Amino acid sequence: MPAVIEAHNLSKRYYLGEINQDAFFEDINRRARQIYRRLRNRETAPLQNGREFWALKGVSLEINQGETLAIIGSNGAGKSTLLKILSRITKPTTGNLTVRGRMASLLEVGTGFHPEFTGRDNIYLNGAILGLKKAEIQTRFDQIVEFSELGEFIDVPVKRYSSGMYIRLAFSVAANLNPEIMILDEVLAVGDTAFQQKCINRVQEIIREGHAAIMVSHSMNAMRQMADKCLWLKNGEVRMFGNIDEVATEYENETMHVAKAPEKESIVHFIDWAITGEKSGENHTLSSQFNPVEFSIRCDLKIPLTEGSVMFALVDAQTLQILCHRTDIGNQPAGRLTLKIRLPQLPIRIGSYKLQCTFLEGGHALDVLWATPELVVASSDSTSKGGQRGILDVPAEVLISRNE
Amino acid sequence: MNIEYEVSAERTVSSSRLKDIWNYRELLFLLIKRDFISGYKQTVLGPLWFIIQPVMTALIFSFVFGKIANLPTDKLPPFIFYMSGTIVWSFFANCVTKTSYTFIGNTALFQKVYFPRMVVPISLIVTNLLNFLIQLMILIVFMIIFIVRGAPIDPNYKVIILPAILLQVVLLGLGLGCIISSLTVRYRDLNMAVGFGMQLWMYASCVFFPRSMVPPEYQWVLTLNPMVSIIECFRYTLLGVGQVEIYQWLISVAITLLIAVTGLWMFRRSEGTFTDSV
Repeated sequence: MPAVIEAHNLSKRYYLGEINQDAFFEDINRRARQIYRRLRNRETAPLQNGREFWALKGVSLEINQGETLAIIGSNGAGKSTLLKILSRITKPTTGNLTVRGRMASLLEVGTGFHPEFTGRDNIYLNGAILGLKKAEIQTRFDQIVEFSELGEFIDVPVKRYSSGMYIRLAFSVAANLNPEIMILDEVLAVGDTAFQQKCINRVQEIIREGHAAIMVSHSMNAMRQMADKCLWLKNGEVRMFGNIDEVATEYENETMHVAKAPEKESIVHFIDWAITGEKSGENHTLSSQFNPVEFSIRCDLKIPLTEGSVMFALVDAQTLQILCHRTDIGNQPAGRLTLKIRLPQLPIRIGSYKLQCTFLEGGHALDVLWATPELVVASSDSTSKGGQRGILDVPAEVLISRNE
Repeated sequence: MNIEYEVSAERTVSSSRLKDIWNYRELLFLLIKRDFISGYKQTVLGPLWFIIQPVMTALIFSFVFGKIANLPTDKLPPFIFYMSGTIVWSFFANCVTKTSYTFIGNTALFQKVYFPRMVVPISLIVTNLLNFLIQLMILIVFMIIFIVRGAPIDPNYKVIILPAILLQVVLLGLGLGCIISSLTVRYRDLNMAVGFGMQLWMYASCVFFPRSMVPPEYQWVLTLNPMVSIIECFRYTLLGVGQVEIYQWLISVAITLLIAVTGLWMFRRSEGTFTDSV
């Protein structure tokens, strides 16, 4: 079975700058020189333009059936450009691409909807754009409407839809027309949480059916949950390509260092942290959530505290505080100290979490300390079959009883 | 359907493009339906507009050019003469204007999804052709009325050439529209000029005067204007009146083919990269 997407050496050049009279004469000039060179049988050198910008440089990748690729990178790294080339919105400047299968793209918010059309007409339009026959769309029509939860609004022109309704319809169409390849650009970040989860479930279902997906998201957790492979783009080039866990961890480490601002005049200096006690695995990786765990955070207190207290918190990738514990520490002289936080167990999902310590004096927060690198929860002991959703990973028991 | 495609920085082969468009025939059909219906959606008179437009234009022309300016009409009843010129001209002008907005008018759609971009101009042309055929039926009704009343209209076997003439209009309109839409990707000036330019062009296209009326020293201008031969041929084949120099028609066919090929070539060059410059 050949790969569903094969791309070799994709590059994309954009011209910056305004199009005006100058640009017009420049164009004429370039064309004329090109023709002159061709007539003289000279090699047509690539025409240089001072305002050119390479959004993508020599990117190659391969995706097989049933695989999900996550594309990560900071803003302007070329993620959207790559997705545009893969979904044939724009042509690459160099390189080539082979796609085998029907592809549904959800680029940015919304898809190719016609604002004047009703939701119903747009379902047919999108189906036709995907290359489906009318009968094929008809068999899936009810399924799409049901998934979108739009109800009677299906016969209202989409220009009157709220952005939430719009994206719900867009996703429902793309996900239920059985595309062999799905491209998702930040679409999982819109809509309410319940619908988001529904989308994630649906994408996982599609992947299980043996179809492929490519996704871009700023939620590393969602990507870790769903993707197998990861492509890390940096300034238009491939920084790393491989297994999602490796690439995502490396990415988080690097971006954390970049984000570390020059230290301002702080009251508490962070030194380092580690998982101590009954440790298993690496210093920052938790591999068993159901055993006692101890975090040791070393820091340097610049001023003495008299009525001090410390608030320890765990924050997940969506900046949700999933644990928070405050302890009085009373009188503390200035100087280095180690905070040891012991938990009987930490039943949380696989992913990366930030450790945060807030120092307080007499109830007022003095300084917040973020521990780096992040805590990585690597494997799950749970036997739950519910996939990797939710915050807690608790081995629950479900029993059925009937009262007849 | 088994879809497999390759995209390469170098240009793709054109045979694969035709297959591509065929794969998207469902979309083509949907767009035609949409264009055709949306033409008179939210209007009171609905499809009647297809009829009102040419009939009113022909009436006004008959009055202004026939009664006031006293222009000859090759012995044809002025109403039939003007109406036949008007419907062919507006068919052509609509093809050009609508097609020239392909890229600019569909930016939002083109930036989100792929389908062969050529589907859009083709759907527009087919919609215009349908409109034209309705108007042609109306013209035929009027022709019958005039023939019954003894007007010198003589439809005969030459009508079989009519489809060829319509094909020529389609190619010319599509080609020109493609040229303009490709150029407007970078320069918007042309869109400003299209409506205005088409109006000027109409004056040079024998819509409301016969070719025979033009002084010999200006005849070469009409030879270079492919629409002159098209309109003259249309009247000649449908109404059986007037005459057409075969060499003039051949020149107009040659110009049409040149424009069509250039237009399609330019369109193909622009469609892959147009989203970069809007």
